[in-house]
Amino acid sequence: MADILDMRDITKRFGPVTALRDVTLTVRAGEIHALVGENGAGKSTLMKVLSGVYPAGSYEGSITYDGQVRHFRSINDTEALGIIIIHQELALIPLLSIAENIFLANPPGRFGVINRDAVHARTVALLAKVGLRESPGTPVTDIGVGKQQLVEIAKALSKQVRLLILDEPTASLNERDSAALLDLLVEFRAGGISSILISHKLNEVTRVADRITVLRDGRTVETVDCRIQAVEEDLIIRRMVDRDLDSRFPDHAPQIGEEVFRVEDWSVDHPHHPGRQVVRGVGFHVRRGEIVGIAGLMGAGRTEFAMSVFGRSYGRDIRGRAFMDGKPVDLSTVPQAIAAGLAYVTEDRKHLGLILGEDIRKNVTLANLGGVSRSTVIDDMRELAVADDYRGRMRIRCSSVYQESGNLSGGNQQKVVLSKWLFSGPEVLILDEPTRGIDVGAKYEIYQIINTLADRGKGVIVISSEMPELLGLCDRICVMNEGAFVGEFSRAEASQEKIMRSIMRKGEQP
Amino acid sequence: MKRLGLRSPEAGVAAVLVVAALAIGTANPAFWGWGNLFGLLRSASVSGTMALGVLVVLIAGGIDVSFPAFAAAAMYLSVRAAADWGWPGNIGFMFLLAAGIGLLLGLANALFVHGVRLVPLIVTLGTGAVVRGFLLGVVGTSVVNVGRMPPETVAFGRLSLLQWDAGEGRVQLSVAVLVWAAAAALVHLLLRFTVPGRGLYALGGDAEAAKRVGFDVRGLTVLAYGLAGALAGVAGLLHACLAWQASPREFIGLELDVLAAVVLGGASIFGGRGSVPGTVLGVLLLVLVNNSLILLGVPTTWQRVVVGAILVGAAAATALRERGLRPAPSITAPSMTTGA
Ligand SMILES: Nc1ncnc2c1ncn2[C@@H]1O[C@H](COP(=O)(O)OP(=O)(O)OP(=O)(O)O)[C@@H](O)[C@H]1O
Ligand SMILES: [Mg+2]
Repeated sequence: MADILDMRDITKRFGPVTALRDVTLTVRAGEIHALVGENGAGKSTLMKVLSGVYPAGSYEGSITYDGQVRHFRSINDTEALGIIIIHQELALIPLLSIAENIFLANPPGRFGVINRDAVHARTVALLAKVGLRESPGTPVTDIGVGKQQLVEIAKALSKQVRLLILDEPTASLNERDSAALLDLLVEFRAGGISSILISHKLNEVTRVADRITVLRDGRTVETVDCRIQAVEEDLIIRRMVDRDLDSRFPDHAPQIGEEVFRVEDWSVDHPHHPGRQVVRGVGFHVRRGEIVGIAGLMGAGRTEFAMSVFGRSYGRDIRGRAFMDGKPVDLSTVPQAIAAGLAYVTEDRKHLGLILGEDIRKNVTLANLGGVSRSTVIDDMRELAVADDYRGRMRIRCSSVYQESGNLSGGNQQKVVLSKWLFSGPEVLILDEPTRGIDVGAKYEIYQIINTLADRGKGVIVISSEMPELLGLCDRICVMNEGAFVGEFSRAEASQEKIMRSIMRKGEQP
Repeated sequence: MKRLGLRSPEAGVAAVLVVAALAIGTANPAFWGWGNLFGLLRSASVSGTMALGVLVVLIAGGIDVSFPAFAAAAMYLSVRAAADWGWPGNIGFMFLLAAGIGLLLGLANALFVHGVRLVPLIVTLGTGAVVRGFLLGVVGTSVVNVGRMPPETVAFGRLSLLQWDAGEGRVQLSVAVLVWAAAAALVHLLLRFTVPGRGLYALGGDAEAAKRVGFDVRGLTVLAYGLAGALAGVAGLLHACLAWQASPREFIGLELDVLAAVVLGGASIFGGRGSVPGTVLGVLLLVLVNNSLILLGVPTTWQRVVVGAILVGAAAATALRERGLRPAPSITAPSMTTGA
């Protein structure tokens, strides 16, 4: 098979940081090529080099695409040749509709007048192709991340795509949606479209990839061909982290104590549609030392529930009672929720989690400046020590804690968000997709941290779309569907099957 | 510290300032005289003090174009009070009064920006116009000149920190420089070392994230606009003390210079960035440029052109610098209604 892409000896520096060192990557026509590696290994950077985000001249090495050496100056250059990248952080415009987003740059029409009918018709066709059942006129804010991902793919299809680059497309998807997306890639492959797939979910990688390239510390470690030899996940992990990982989940013997947090009759209305209940009168509790998982499909109301509890950060007309250690508490504002001992680690780190223009140090201490200051005067040295401590414990890969957090790799940003909330010293920690976009090694570390927190008597609530994660980590799993809890399983009785069945029983989401 | 590295905006302005000073000094050696340097500092002190307030507002993600009107109002009202009624009678109290008037007006800005959630530019354009109109229409249009100026203001304006007799006359370092320096030190401490200071940066950097970690957004907005108002009030009275007169038409158009200086000093008009050292350097550079334009005999209209160009250029430089640090300025969805 012919190579459609050949990247040779790519070296990319950011000031003193060398993100890529002599990286080589070849992609054949009509293959799914997976790119794996730890957080900060350089995967996203390599794809930005390829797609012209970093123009020719800002890196060393050569790119041969479609038989010709190319010097891409911008995204426009690469898109014209059918190289379409879908970034780790989606780039849709929230208030525009699905159709408008898809045809943002090149809407069908003549003389600058957009042909609305054509937009509509083509959007419908594209949405059908990616299997998204939404009206083209729906604003993008009103659909979840998973569907937004599909909109991005539809957008790619609207251009003449030949090489599709997906940077962690399934990070925020649940298993069913992920599977659907991967099937889509397989379908594209049959149609001659090559894909580069970046993912930390190795089971997906081994399922669909034809070849896998492993990056470590900005270098190519190896490219393995899955069609020649069956590739084990463990092999890839060994290549990625350069050490053995015996198990994915640390052992943990829970010591469960008194109830620490409880809500009763908790209801939340949609922020834009008063009267539409997103959370319907639910009750929920967590005990000290307990790790409770919340399973459910996208749109089940898990994030909405968690955010509404955390100082009414989501929704309107929030009703219900909350108790900390058996005593009623008022959680009406974020400061009150924090004071009561809650912390909510958001799933959307780019927007609600980090101040990207600030360095790591300032982000880590942001939720608990009281912890590094005396009578509102910040102690620089303490702050530095705290940030350095978390940098070490969470293994945040950076040049120093003075590095701007916007320049960190996606997974390392997630670690900063997590550090911030850990440092706020909560009694109850709500983690919304805590390992989204985090590599296997770091995941293990995060699980360990979660276990330690539980051992120290905190209550931990984990919202996750990764079923194995919930099963491997949680002492109890609650299943949410359409704004209500529809099932509950102890660690012993929980299984992937039972949870799925309990989700399905309540009928599927449209 | 990373922020004071060679590639920081502060280092950039400092370098330009040094080059400009060397160039001017070479063309005109008299530039380097103590008298001239002290004179520059003195003339920078009024807009320099205002700039500190504007800096705080910009960092918090807002913008303020009302401060010249507020400064004029605070100055004129406090001077008129002292001239007409002999009250409050002491220069310290007069400054407190001016700061208080500025503070109150600043709170009005905060009220509209946070309480009613209006765009800061519109709010401050409006409040500035209202205050100026009220001042001219209701309080009066007459200029309080030297003869009627309260004696304590004139006396204060004549105070100097340092003075000695040089060949061509007395060299004086005006007390106004001390006022500016004190205000700068205060704002610097606030921004650099305190929790509310950190909150201002957070608010300007990402308002949603700041809210999510529990910062009191209303309090911070009040702090930013209130401080800007109070500093404008102080600067206004300071100007009257130095000029020995108080006119309600004072400071018209000054927002351009001050904003240019602050942006020149590395503050971002999108919020979240900026520092007191940068702002001080920016003000000095702008005063230097303005002065040499005057010395070169460039007409006032063309001076405006230059200052306007500096504002746009400096803003562009800041924006480009930030873009250099990050890949494409992608517009991402604040997906409030995300999964789960
Ligand atoms: N603009 C930048 N300035 C400085 N360093 C950068 C910049 N962009 C990336 N880096 C650094 O380059 C390295 C590689 O980052 P990259 O985003 O490619 O990692 P990644 O493999 O995609 O990781 P993840 O799985 O976490 O997304 C990281 O150490 C990161 O800090
Ligand atoms: Mg990445």
